[in-house]
Amino acid sequence: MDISLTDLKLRRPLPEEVGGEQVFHFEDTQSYRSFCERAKAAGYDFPNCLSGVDVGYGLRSVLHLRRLSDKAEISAWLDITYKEPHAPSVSDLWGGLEWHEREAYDLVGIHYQGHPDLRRILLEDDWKLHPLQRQYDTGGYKKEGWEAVPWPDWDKIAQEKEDKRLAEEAKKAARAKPAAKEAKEAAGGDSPKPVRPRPAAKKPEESNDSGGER
Amino acid sequence: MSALTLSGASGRVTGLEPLPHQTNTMVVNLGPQHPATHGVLQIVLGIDGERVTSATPHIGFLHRNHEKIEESRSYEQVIPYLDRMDYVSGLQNELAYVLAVESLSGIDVPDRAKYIRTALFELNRVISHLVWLGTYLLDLGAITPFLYAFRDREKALDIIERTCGARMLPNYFTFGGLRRDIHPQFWHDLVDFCAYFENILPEYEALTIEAPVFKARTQGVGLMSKELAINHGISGPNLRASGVNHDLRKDQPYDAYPYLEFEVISRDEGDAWARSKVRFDEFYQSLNLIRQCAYKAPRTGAIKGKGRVKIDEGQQIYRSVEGSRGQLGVYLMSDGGAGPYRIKHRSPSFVVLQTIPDLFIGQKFADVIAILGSVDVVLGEVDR
Repeated sequence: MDISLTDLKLRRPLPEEVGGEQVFHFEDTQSYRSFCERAKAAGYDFPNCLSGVDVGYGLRSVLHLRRLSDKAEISAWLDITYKEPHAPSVSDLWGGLEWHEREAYDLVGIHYQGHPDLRRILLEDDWKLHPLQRQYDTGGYKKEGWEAVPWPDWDKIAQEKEDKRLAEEAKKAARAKPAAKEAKEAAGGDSPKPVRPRPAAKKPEESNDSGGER
Repeated sequence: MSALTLSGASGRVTGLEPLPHQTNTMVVNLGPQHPATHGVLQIVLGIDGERVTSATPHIGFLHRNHEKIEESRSYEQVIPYLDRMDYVSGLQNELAYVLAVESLSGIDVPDRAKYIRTALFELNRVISHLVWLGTYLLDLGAITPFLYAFRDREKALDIIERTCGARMLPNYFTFGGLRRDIHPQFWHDLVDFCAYFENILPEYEALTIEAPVFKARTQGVGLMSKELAINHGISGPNLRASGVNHDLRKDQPYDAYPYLEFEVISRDEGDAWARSKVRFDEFYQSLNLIRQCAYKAPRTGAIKGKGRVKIDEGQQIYRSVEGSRGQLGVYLMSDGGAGPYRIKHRSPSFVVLQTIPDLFIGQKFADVIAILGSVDVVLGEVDR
């Protein structure tokens, strides 16, 4: 690790490993800011992404950085509360994060302090609230609050599929059986084939008559 | 300085010293209903004579909040929305997301599917660059290249249509591979297209970017320094034209790229012409990669790997691919449900647009369109 963490307040003493990524998780804004400055000094020059997330108990600013010289990547999280959603802006270190921070302010509601031009970016200037927060009312769509979509019961689905297939096979077999029997009888027995009576053709005179009457 | 008050607190005009023959500053609205903005983009320009003194981009006219919609969908249901973000290269958006979900839930992709995906990815790059070529030349006043480019683009779209069922919104990639098998003529179609297009490319090159008029309008225009490009997170051809040898296909190879041979294309000039030249060289590169895929891909085998999407609570990943406009990233966070908890799309056009004040200020008004076209933005992915 080329960034000194000795005097920084991390959420846990060591960087966490989440989804194969090395994550530096902060709750203290001062530590977050000085970590970013050190990362910049350590050569992390390319801003990958900055996202705002509503994590349920507060807001989180997620920063992804890359070092172009050796393709190293790090990630830094800053947790803040709903009541005081203030995070230090890092757009002076990486200019490319200026609009990302504006977007996170617009959609998630994180106020980046020290940002040169913190306005709404995607929504209109007079928009109320921040749509990517969980309690945002989407107008009747999932009004009771967000709940995780439950996982489908894969085993049950597979069982149902199998049952359906078996039932259909049985049906097919049942349908095939009498047909085969009949065919056997028809081939073996000497009973004549039933002759279907032809429908009587319309007599041409009748139509002629009716035509005449008209 | 009425432009400053009108254009919001951009704060970037201060470094510019006034001309000796200063006239009144005029405010010009470029867009949102302007064909050269490639969509609905508004740029408020302050102009002093012929010189641009301030530029403030306004975006969001096409905003649909994909990220909010995707939160209420399952992982599989998200994929069609990705086609509609960058509608010029829909398959590239799909791949970034699909790779993120695959690596979080540990789904393996069979080799055959990897090659097909890579070939389609590169074909999409050709399509996207053709749209850029046609519209850029149209912006600069040449109408014929647009017709040529869209004619050839249609040939490439035909291949995608025959394989995926749709031209521009294919909804074809899925977790572990492909949604359905390819057309039997797929590889033949691709190789035929490569032969046709490679034959015709030198002609395009001579007529467009090597033409003296084009060079006069683009060389030395819209200079983007290496430091600015890196600090602003510019990626793709725009970054490589500023002398940075950065390509995610090489640096973080995904799908079949580790098995393919290619060189990263970069130039040092950093002007509008260099960006055009890099894109033009990428035509050849993409055709070469498609051909390699066609020869190396296994002819038989599964198109979809086994494994189900299952992402544990708290797992998150940032995954990016090298799209035709640059780094297409997906930040994905899971809460253990059947759908994503949060998705953030990092679109390269969004990142490029914020450097517009830096590129425009101090330039001549007539160069504004030449610069805007050279960075190649698609507003569908800017506004999301």
